[in-house]
Amino acid sequence: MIGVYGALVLAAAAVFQSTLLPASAVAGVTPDVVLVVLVFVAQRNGVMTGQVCGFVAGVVVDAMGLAPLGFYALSYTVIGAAAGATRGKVFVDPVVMPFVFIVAAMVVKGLLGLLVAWLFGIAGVAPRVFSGAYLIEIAYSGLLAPVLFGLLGLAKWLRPDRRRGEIA
Amino acid sequence: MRVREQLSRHKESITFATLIAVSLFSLVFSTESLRVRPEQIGQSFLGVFQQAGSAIGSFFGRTVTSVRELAELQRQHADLIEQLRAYEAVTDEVEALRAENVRLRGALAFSETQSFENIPARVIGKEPGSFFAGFSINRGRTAGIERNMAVIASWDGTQGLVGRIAEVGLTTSVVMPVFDANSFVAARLLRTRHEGIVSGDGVSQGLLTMRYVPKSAQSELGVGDVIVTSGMSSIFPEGIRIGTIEAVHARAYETSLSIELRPAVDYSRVEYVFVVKERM
Repeated sequence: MIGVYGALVLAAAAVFQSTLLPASAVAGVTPDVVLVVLVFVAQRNGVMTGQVCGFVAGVVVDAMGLAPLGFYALSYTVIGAAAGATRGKVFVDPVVMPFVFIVAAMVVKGLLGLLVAWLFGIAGVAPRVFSGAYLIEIAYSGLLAPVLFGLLGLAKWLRPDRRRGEIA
Repeated sequence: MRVREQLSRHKESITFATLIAVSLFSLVFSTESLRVRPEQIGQSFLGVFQQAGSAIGSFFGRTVTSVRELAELQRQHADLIEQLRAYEAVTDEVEALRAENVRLRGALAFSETQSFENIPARVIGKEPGSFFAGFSINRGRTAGIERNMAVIASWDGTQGLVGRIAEVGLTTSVVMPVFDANSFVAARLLRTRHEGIVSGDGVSQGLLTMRYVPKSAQSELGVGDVIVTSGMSSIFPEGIRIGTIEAVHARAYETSLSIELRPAVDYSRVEYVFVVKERM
């Protein structure tokens, strides 16, 4: 059930990112809210939920723009699985670790984007990954992460570990 | 029994491999030119949510404006009682509506003066991912939009090229802007008539590049010269303004000039566009 909630939240985050978030752009760059939400959901719920939610989020993002179907699905599946693998193994404080998680996830997203673009001959990805705009996006997303993690932490339906009385 | 145990034990790994395989298969099909692309289905479905998200954004925007206006009116009411200066009150919303009215009148006038039939549309969403540069508009197949139709906009009183339709859903479409790395536009220098190809680097606030202009043309070119579409391709009609020359580079290792263009349209601020349906 948590996977369904997570997937719905991620789909809503993708729509939010496409329609409302551009108003908050810094130097024309918006944070990757979908990635932040994905890492939160995956880190709290484990590998299986993380990778399934990542796949769903990626398909939604692929379908809403110019990316070929599967581009973000692959990246977000890997990131969801990797974030899920840290569940219970890393102490997540309210500020530093969310920032570290998101910066790491953004770097992985960039590397996977380069790899997929190279494999399938997709033009335009490398200039964006190596642009200053991507650095701004990494910083913006990282700084937003503690705030979003705090807000999402209030949603108990995204945190089955709490319901079961476990310590994350 | 043992197979079931093995499957159960490696459930996560199998799911991971399956999802990655599905993603890769999708990429294989997506990057080929299939007639019916999977994105079209997703675009049609998700376009509804994009429109809803945009509508919610507009609603909250109007609500915030209304609340701000209410606070302003309260202050003015107090001022009226104390100072009898009601005539000084001009609310933010009136200003916003007046500005919007001017914009829409300009857009309407622009639409009516075009020499080709066009479909007005509003930008409702930007690309949610960071590696591509598309944006969504609120018109789709039901409005008569098809793939590869040219998209233009009114900017500073003139028409400027925005891009072309890349994906079409039922009620929304995705536009590939000129600055996208996959966009190539047959172009011509308005004054000297030299032809070339304009492309972008994927960054909306960057410059465009025009290539394949012979080096012999360098002495005739100057900063500020206008570049328009040449009409040599079947996508873009002739004479649409693309941008103006910012710099000309003649590199020793290249056989032609590399010309940097300042785009005619500020892509990050475009709100209304016109999809060129056909020449009249």
